[in-house]
Amino acid sequence: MDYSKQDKFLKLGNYRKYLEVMKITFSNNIVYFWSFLTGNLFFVFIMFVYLMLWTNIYAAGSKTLAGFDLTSMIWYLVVTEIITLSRPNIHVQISNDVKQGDIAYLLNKPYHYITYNLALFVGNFGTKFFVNSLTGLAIGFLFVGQLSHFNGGHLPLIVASILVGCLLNFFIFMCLALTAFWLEENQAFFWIYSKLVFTLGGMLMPIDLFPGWLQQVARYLPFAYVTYVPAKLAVHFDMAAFLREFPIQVGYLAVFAALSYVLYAGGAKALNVNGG
Amino acid sequence: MWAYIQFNMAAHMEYRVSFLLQTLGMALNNSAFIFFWWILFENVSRIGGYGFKDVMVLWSLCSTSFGLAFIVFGNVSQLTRLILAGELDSFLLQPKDVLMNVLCSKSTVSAWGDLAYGVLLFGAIAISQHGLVDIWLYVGLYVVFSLCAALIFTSVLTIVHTLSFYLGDFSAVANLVTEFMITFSIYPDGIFTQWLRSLLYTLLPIGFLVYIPAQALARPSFGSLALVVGACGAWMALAYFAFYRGLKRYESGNLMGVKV
Repeated sequence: MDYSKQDKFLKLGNYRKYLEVMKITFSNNIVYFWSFLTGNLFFVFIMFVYLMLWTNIYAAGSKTLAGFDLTSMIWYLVVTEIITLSRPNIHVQISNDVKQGDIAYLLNKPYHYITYNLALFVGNFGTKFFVNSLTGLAIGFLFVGQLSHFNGGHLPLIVASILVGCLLNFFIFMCLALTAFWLEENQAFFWIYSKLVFTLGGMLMPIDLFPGWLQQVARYLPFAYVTYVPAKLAVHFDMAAFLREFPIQVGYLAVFAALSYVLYAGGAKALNVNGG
Repeated sequence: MWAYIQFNMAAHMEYRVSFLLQTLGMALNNSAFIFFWWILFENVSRIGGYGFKDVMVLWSLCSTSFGLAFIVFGNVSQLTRLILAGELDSFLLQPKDVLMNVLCSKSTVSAWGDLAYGVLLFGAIAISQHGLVDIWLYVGLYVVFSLCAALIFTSVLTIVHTLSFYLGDFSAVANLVTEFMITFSIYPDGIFTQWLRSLLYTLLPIGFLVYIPAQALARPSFGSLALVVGACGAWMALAYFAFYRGLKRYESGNLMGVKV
């Protein structure tokens, strides 16, 4: 037996099992495609309210605000909502696994817990992202029409930035969920982080509308790289901005991914589960 | 009702840290929207005829009434489940008003955060707008309007859940109605089109929940107060009628259980 070949196979097998988890989760979700689509009523509703709000704001003042006209503002919000609404609530399960001690039964499984949850995330996210994107496109075209100066050639780079934003969001949630190893109650962290994405992350409005000093602060924080950066690239693509901001996005992703593995390793060592 | 409030409060206090964290977390959660409106009003002076403080009054009324509704009548969101699972049996056997008994038997912890946020926000607005001389009228009106709004909110949700007696699982619609009511309550009515505004004063009574009260707080009038109290009475009567009418169609469950 050629052991180097066997090792190679085992390594491939390692990745393959996560791929299988991903595929199974995706298949499970695709069964509920129509359910997801009808569940998107909230997305349509909240975008309708935003449309009313911003139409009123633009009608009362100038045609553009911080470089955004009504059409680009609505498309910007469509993208931030797609990113936020496509996030599966896997962090809640992770948090509960730790708090309720179920993690003790998951530690000895032949997979890495974090990578396994990443595979679950991708499987779940795939369906949600697809359905939300369809809904978002319909909303954008119906509410404000085509985005002017949009170049389809930039689409792969925009999608790459959106996907990195979603993954970054997942790993930040993962880090917060893993605090359950040390803290009894961590629900408030999820709320606070969500609201930081709402505000400093530019989910509810582009950070270009913020006062200058706050823009400077927000541009350095990771929250803007979850929603603001991909959404701004989607509506006002600029290659120089992409080359400047995409590496920072990937850098933040690497930091939080590494942090989640470190937190898990530390937490699993310190784990003390009672009962049987 | 008072006994239920005391009992639910004692139950929450068993887990004090969790209670405080959830209350503070929810208050902080809501305060993110102050930031949103502050930034918007940095860029424009008025939105739909409202200034920054006017929108904060809407937020305060909505948060206080939503908090009150889910502290006192926390079980309203579970009504469909109780109807479909045949779990109203234990309430039917007790010598108390069934609807009140069902609604009050549970309280939502995070609703305390909504209440705290609403009251604190109102306190800040009241102090910044009024001298200590006429502040009592302002506070009095706020208390009455918040109580009425909590009762209207609960009544509307009760009516929607009551449809489960006839049409099966209506919880998804009830959740959507809850989202509609909260979302419409925190935006100025001036941004909505005429036909939508007429809907907000009839089918979804947001007008009586926050818009009329907000106007009445700015310019106190007996007419507005009477209108809100009258609408509150009408929605409560409708909720009672709908629930007891639907209760006639209730089918008891055969689930065996112990209720302490």
